[in-house]
Amino acid sequence: MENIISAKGLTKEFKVHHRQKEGLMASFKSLYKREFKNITAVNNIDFHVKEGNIHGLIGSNGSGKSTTIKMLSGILLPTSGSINVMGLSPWKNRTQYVKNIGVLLGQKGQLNWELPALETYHLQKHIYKIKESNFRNNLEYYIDVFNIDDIVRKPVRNLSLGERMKCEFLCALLHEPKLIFLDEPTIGLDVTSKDTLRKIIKKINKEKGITFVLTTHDLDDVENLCHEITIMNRGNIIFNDSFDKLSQHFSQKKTIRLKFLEPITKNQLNGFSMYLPDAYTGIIEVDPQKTDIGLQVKSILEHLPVKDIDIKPIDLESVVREIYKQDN
Amino acid sequence: MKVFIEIFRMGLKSSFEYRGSFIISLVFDPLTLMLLISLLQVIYGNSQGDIILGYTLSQMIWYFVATRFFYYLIWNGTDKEISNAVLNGEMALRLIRPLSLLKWEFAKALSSKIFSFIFEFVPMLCICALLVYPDFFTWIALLKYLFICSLSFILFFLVSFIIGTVSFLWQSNQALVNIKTAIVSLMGGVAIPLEFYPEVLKNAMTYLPFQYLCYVPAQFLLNKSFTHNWSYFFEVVGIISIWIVIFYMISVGFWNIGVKKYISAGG
Repeated sequence: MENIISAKGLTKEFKVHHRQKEGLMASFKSLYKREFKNITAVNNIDFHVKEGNIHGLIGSNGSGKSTTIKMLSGILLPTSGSINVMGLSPWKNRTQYVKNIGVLLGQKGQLNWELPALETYHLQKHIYKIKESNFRNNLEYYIDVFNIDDIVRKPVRNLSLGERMKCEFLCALLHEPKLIFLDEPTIGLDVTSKDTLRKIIKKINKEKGITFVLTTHDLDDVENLCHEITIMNRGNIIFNDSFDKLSQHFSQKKTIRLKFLEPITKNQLNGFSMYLPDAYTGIIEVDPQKTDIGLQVKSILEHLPVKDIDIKPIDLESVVREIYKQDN
Repeated sequence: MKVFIEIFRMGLKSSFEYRGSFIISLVFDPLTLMLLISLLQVIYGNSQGDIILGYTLSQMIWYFVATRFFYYLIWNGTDKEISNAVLNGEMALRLIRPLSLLKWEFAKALSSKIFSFIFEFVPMLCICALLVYPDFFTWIALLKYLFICSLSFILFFLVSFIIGTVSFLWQSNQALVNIKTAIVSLMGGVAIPLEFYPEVLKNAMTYLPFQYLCYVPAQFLLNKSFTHNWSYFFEVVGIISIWIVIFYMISVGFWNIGVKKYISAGG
């Protein structure tokens, strides 16, 4: 598979107002004297996406994933570095470039709030110069896929978040882009809506061959959708490989989840390397090749007031946490 | 052109969704006008002649009607709209459209003004004519006025767009919007006719574009004798056109600088 996106040495720096002290006097002082701080949101990264893939970009808040997606989609101008998407540079061939991409920003919408989504779709037809027959076919196809025949006829302000997201998603697809950037597409959605949206992304990727680049905090999105994954931390890429490689990273490891009869403090752990999400719960990650799970469990039961125990393969969240820990 | 018509069509539909606000303005604007008429009648009644600074009573009343028409036909909030889109991050989505922001905003502003023309200007013109008969009125004066207003609208839009693009650099352009409002109000003749200013100040204003936004178009509506001359009409058209070209070039420059400095909220 060929790369549809090739970004080299991509860096984005922001100059932000930085106030040392809080309070009214500090606000007043900032009227005549301001201090600025340069923040490197993305730090000299190389990023590649293969055509036809669903590529996940994950990371904590402020890790640089949204900035990366905004540079790739032409919204932000990189401080340095080069981007080649389908042979085009987002900033040099802007009009031509944006015709070939779709963008869905999870917390922002391009639909007209007062009117039914259908009205915005008609506007898109003219903006992107979509042929009438193609427009009709695409609209019918996606309305069917999203199951939103009634929804697209209601004013957008009257729709639920899940319905609106579907309508927004359809809007990004109408002009038949080869590449779609999804910035936190499942944010704020309920479990059912998330599941529906994931199924749709998978279906479109399979049937239309559209490449997706998505940022998310929801690791279920990654697990269910992504072929390739890039993990970012503080503007740097700390993992960049296929989902299978990431799976190998954790497939051998196990998680022992414990429920305690009484609250546990860190002092009571007696040397157990345990993560405590709350006082009644403990999580231990074990590599069976290095540690005997039986002995480990026996030791825990002897030293701690365990009410319930559950041994599972390690989940993705723990792996990402581990990768972050290693990087930090 | 089709895009333009479609944006315009959508703008009209959106305006129809908020029909309440223009119904309120149709009720309240004549009420404020009636108060103004009373005030002006007292002023004219206590003055020595029938004409004050070249305005008869009906012309003075209609000058203030024309300042109301300025808001219907020329004023637009493009600067605030761009600033809000920059602040809340919505601008990101406007930048991924294969259409320039200038065209997009212009189509939106124009659609809102055409809506105002049909549903605010025309009814108010009729209501005001019933309240105070415009004895100076001619159809040709009205057509000249509307033509000048269409150019003034473009000029005002470009000023507004430039102030809007400043928000790419400063995020909030509220201070500039306030300055613009004050300048247009004082130097554009929205607050009072420019004849009320000292001669030096009035002369200085002829070198600036602001009087072409409200004061000069109003002179055509009032059918002042100097506006009968077609050469004056073409002179005004020419001057506004030159200002439009100047402001267009500035707006393109500001856009090119601003968009490169853009910081999209949330990333």
